[in-house]
Formats: sequence, structure tokens, C-alpha cells
Amino acid sequence: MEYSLTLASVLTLLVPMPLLVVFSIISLLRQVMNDRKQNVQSESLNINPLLEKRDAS
Amino acid sequence: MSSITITVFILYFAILFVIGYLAYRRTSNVEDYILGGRQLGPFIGGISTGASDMSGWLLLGLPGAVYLSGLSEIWIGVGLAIGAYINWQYVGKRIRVYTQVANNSLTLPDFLENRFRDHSKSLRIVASVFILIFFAFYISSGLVGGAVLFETTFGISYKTALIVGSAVIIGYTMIGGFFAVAWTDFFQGLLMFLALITIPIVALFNLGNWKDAINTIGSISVEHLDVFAGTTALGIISLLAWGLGYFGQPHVIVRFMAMTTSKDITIGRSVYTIWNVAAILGAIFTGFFGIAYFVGDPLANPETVFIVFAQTLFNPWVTGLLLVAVLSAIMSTISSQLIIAASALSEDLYKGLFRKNASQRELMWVARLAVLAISIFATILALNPESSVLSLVGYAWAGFGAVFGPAILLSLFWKKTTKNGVLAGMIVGGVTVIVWSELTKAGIIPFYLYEIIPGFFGSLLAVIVVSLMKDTVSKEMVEEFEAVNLSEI
Repeated sequence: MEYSLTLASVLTLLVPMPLLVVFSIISLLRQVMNDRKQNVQSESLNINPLLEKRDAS
Repeated sequence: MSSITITVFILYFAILFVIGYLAYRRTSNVEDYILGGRQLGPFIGGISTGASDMSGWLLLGLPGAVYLSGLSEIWIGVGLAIGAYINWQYVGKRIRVYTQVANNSLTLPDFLENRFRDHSKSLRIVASVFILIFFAFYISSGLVGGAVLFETTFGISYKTALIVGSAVIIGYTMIGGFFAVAWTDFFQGLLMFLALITIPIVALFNLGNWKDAINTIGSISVEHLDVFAGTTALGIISLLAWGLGYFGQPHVIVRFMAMTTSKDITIGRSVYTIWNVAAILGAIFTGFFGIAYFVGDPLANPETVFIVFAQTLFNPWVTGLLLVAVLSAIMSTISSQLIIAASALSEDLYKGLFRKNASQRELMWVARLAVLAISIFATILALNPESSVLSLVGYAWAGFGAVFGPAILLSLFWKKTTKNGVLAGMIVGGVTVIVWSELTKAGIIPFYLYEIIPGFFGSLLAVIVVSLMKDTVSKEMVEEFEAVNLSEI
């Protein structure tokens, strides 16, 4: 005889906990993107005085 | 126990001591000793929190329950995963910032006193006595669990297992303090994670494939495949409600306080969640595949399903590592509770009540002696595993959740919360948990509802009602509350 998990079992196993993992991975990726954006911004801030110096000379 | 397994155990103990020594060298003041100098990064913080939160229950109790009754046992895992996530999401950042803004509070009782400018010391005393008593029994119960396990599984005498286990935990916790606890928890958390991923995957390969496993399990009892088999709505709510307990577990909350910045908590939450969900699912499937694997020779003690898998599916070196993972789960929880109980004794009671101007050196030594004293007390208590005092631990999870959960949540997020409100909430929460449980046991309450539900909501109501009765929130407290919103720690 063939058996399978009930639909409720499949949904309970596949929805709440895996969903938390998906949220976590999205949150990690967003954090990485934000950090990268901030790095780019701070680098450009560092470059600006140099550019101004070059323009002035 | 084979000589290879013993070698793995000795290596494991040696690594714990090396970590303890390295932590000792990095510890220079009390903030280091009881809060790791607030220098916990997201990976160590995330994984070590998982290891300290999950006790032997994860590797023994949960797989055992699923092995015995099938998938209807998974609700507690779902409740814990959701509760822990919400705790990291909402409590984590705010308590990290608030404890620093509120006069650099190093412990939970310290925070409550500073948050509410409580000069009467009543919040400090009630909170720290509660922590001290319940953790002493919690630690003792953990030691009993570990020693019984090693006695029944390996034939080592109960006393030997108890004394060796206690000595190792005392060793690294006492010398290395919070750093040692966090780093050993991280190492132990990795072992637990690997073990809980490996066992179900290898078990499934041995069973053939998913379809074969399901057919074998279904042929034993089709109810094993149904999450609702034998459950009631109140039963499921009770199991899900275990997640409420997280908001008040001091050994979990303190990890948030120890993180370097609040940004680390966002990353730590993701690391923790991936660890936690994988570990819980691994534990569930260890028990689930155990139903099919041991169909011809059912286990006398369902809670040994993880251990028997470890002994039958792998070579002795891997078996040793997997068994060390069981020990890791037990030890990581005990050491975390031990450092919190010691901080309640040294920082909250000794310094807070008697020696406000004690030197850092004196306080560190008092904290170390507190670790030793509480460990010795817990070990002596554990020498008699039949002691009825140990049954108190049954209230601990719900008790902490109901006593501290609403008090912490409202202290963090509701500016009108008052000292008297928190005090009333703690007392109502603790009393409700015990009274509800006893009334259920006596049959006066004719249905089962996990005591954390009335305890938590009773406490929540008490904090709100008493806080609204008299407006005693000072301007200074409101300004501090608002400063936390703007802080960039």
C-alpha cells in the first residue's frame, strides 16, 4: 500500500520554519547590499576632497 | 564505550579547556567576565545563542517524541522557531541599546533597576533571587539528565559521569567567564548542527529513499504521517505557546546585551534562525526516520534514537563526534545558565546591595567564586536525582517566560510602564504559573493548557493595570526611553 504525508503535515513542515529561513536570507542579503552602498558612499566622500584639490591646482 | 570514542571525548574536553584559557587571558574586568565586554559578533552570537538555548531536549527529547508519536509532535518545534525569531526581531536590538543607555546595565535585574530608577532595590532583589533559584535547579536538572544518559548508554557510574561533567563545566566557565561560555557554545553549536544534519540524511540513504521511508512509517501507523493525529486545538496552542517563553529567558536575553552593535543583531538573527530551523528539522527527521529504521527492533527508550543512530550508522570516530554533540547540547545550556546565576549573585546581590564601590578585581573573584558555589550546590543536589526539589525545574521555562517576558517587553516598548507595574507583573506571572499547574494536576482545571499562557497574559495585564493606576513616570525616564529610539549603538 502507498502512503503519503497529509497535506496539513506537508504545509506545516514546509511553510512556517522554511519561511523564517527565507526571511533570514533576504535580511542577510539586504544587509550586505546596504553595507556595500555605504562603503561606496564613504569612498566617494573620501575622493571628493582629492578631486577638489586636483581641480583647484 | 570504545577507546576511540573515549579519545574523541578527551579531545573535546581539551578543546573546551583551551578555549577557557584563551578567554581567561582576554578577560580583564567584570563587564568582560559577565557580558564579554559587549564584543560578541553576529556569527558567534547567533550560533552560541542557539546552543545555549537548546538543551539535550533537542537531540534526545524531540527526536524521541517524534519517534514515539510521529509528526503530531512537531508543533513545539514550530512554536519555538517562531518565538525565537520574534524575540531576535523585536527584543534584540532594543534591549542591546537600552541596557547601555540605562547606566550601562550588565544584567537583567540591573537593567530593571536602572530603567525605573528603583532606589528601593526591590526589582533587583526579586529578579535576581528568581534567577538564582530557578537556574540552580535548572543546572542541577541538566547535570542529572547528562549523568543519567551516560550511565544508561555507556554503563559509566552515575556519580562518575556527574562529577566529571561538573568538573569540566566548572573549569572552563569559572576561569574564562562569558567569553569562554560564548566561544565554547559556538563550538558546541557547530557540532550540534553538523550532527543534526548528518544523522537524518544518512538514515534516509540507509532506508532507500523518501517514498520507501514514508511507506514503512505509514504501514506501522498512518497517524505518524499526520500533524493533527491525536491533537486538540488547546493542545496545539499549548505547544505553540512554548515560543512565548523566549521573551523572558535570561540566558538568551543576555546574548543580545553582549552583541557589539545593534547591527550585529540583525545579522545574528539570520545566522541564528538558519541554525535553529535546520537543527529543529534535523531533530524531527531523526525521530521520524527512526520509526522506519528501527521497525524490526523497536527502541526500549525512544529518547535514545539519536544515540542509537550514531552508534549503528557510523564508524567509531564519527560516532564519538556525534555523541560529543549530545554532550555539547547539555553542557552549553548549563554553562550559560551558570554564568547568569553567578552574575545574579555577584553583580546583582553582592555589588548591588553590599559593595557598591568594590574594585573590579574583587568583583571578578566574587563572580568566579559564585560560579564555583552554584556549581557545587547544583552538583550536590544532583547527587540525589530522585529529589522532589528538582521537580521545580518543570516550572522554569514557563516561569521565566511569565515573570520576565511581559516585564521586559513593556519596559522596552511602553514608556508608561512603572516600577510597581513591573513588580506586580513579575509576581503575578510567577504565582499564576505555579498555581495554574497545581490546579491542573489536582483536576480542578478540567482541561490542559500550558501554564505559560495564563501566566504570560496575567502578568502582561498586571503590568499594564498597575502602571496605569498611578502615573509615576519621571521626565528623566521618558527622555531616556526616547533616547533609545534615536541611539545609533
